[in-house]
Amino acid sequence: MVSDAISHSVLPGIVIAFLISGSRDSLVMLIGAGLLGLITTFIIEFLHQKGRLQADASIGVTFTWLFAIGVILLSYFAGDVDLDQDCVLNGEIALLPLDLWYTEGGTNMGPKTIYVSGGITLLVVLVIYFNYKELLVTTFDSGYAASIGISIALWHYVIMGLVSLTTVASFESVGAILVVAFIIAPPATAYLLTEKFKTMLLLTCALGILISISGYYVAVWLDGSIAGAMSSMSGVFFAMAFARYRWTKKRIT
Amino acid sequence: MVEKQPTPLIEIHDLTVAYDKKPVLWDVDFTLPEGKLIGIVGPNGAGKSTLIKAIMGLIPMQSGYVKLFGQGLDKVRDKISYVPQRESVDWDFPTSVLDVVLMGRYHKLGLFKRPRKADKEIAMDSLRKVGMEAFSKRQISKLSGGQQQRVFLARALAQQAELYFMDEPFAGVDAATEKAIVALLKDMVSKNKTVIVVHHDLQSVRKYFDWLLMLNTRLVANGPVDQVFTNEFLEETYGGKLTLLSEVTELMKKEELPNREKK
Ligand SMILES: Nc1ncnc2c1ncn2[C@@H]1O[C@H](COP(=O)(O)OP(=O)(O)OP(=O)(O)O)[C@@H](O)[C@H]1O
Ligand SMILES: [Mg+2]
Repeated sequence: MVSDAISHSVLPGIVIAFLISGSRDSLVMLIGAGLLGLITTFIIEFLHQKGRLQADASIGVTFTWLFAIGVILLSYFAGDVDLDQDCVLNGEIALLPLDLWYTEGGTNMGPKTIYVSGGITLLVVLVIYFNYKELLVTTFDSGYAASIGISIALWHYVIMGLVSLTTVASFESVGAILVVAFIIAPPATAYLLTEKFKTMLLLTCALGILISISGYYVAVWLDGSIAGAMSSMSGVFFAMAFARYRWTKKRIT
Repeated sequence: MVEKQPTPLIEIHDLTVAYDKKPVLWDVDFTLPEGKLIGIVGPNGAGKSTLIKAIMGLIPMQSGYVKLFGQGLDKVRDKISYVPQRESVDWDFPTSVLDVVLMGRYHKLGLFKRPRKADKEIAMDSLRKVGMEAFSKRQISKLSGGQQQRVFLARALAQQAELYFMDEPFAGVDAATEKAIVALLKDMVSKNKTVIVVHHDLQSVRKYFDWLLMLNTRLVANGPVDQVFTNEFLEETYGGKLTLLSEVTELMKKEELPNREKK
């Protein structure tokens, strides 16, 4: 839900970044979008806690409002420039190998996305590895966390910052369908398969890889859309996990 | 030389807390001594949990200040342990009993440090004290209510604090376990720790506590149990709940007679 909101509300960030820098360089856009992602979570939290608005209501209000601002900015200032939400956020996985990174000397370093997404992945893994305990205690028992002096707000923003970075970068490279499918399906599937938190994290990653590979071959086989095939595969995996879950449950009771 | 004035362990001055402008605690003012098992009683919604949360700095106060060990909270956090009301967390969270108890060690670890073997031993030891060592690997979603409560207690024990705030630690705990835990708390108090417990069962107040705080938005009474656990104060705390009151009064009459004979 939050990641969906972020994906919409980062639009003004992208437009502003474009207006300031005048370039369509993806890194600049990413920074603008990332900042707006953080501001989004900040506003959502603010409305929820200080404004006593329900969580989903504050998410809804925030992202529609920011998205609207983005659209207005876009049509007002950048109407005649080739910049629309599609070209920025609707990446297409099949085109990835074409967006290459050349060094000054002209050496081909491979697709850009590998570096951007890879860097973000590394960051996420490092934060989870080194701050596992802070993330665990603030999500499980925030009152207790605060009582031993661990800042709930700080870790909340760390998580949300990472979510917004990941979302934005993925939107940019593989497009909306895959982001939504991959943010929800693998963890939901893993949740049905195990109760251990660490196993769940690892299983989620494994499932992500499995879905990508199998989805890719299904797409090649059917000669269809890659994003569509991967999303369908994530549904298939989820259905299998769900069946297994129901079956083991029935046996016990 | 002037003799050192004994500073009270907890000093609350003029504390007022409100949710949405509706005061829940009004001008609460008291001090509590060290090395005692202290009970807090009052009806539902009296502000007992709110009082503890305000002391722990979890909710803003409208006025007043709190001093612990004669200092501000941030200087003495390491010496304080807080056991939230059990319902305050999601017990379906995918984590194990041992992982929850290990949280009791987090305050001693630095930002990027992970729990070490010594921490695990302390956590296991705490689980043993509440009779839960056999459950250390169990997922918390598969515990009964009383077992969840014992996990929270074990986490508090693992903190090795000087001062404990426990919000209804006996809610849903069976009689035998409650007895064992009270014995544990009394043992801690005998080692000069201070334990403050929000409690609902008026019948066991005399048996458990040395000191009692009676609360209903305002402070009703604060002092040694035999001085403040009286009809008059109970009536003031619980207001018109007469059936309850008369039951307790009956009980107290029964209890008081032999007590007097002893003296
Ligand atoms: N987050 C909140 N927002 C608004 N009002 C609240 C909030 N938390 C508590 N209250 C109100 O404050 C009052 C005191 O609540 P508190 O939880 O401190 O009571 P309590 O004495 O611990 O009760 P119990 O015995 O039921 O645990 C209640 O009237 C409650 O409705
Ligand atoms: Mg309470």
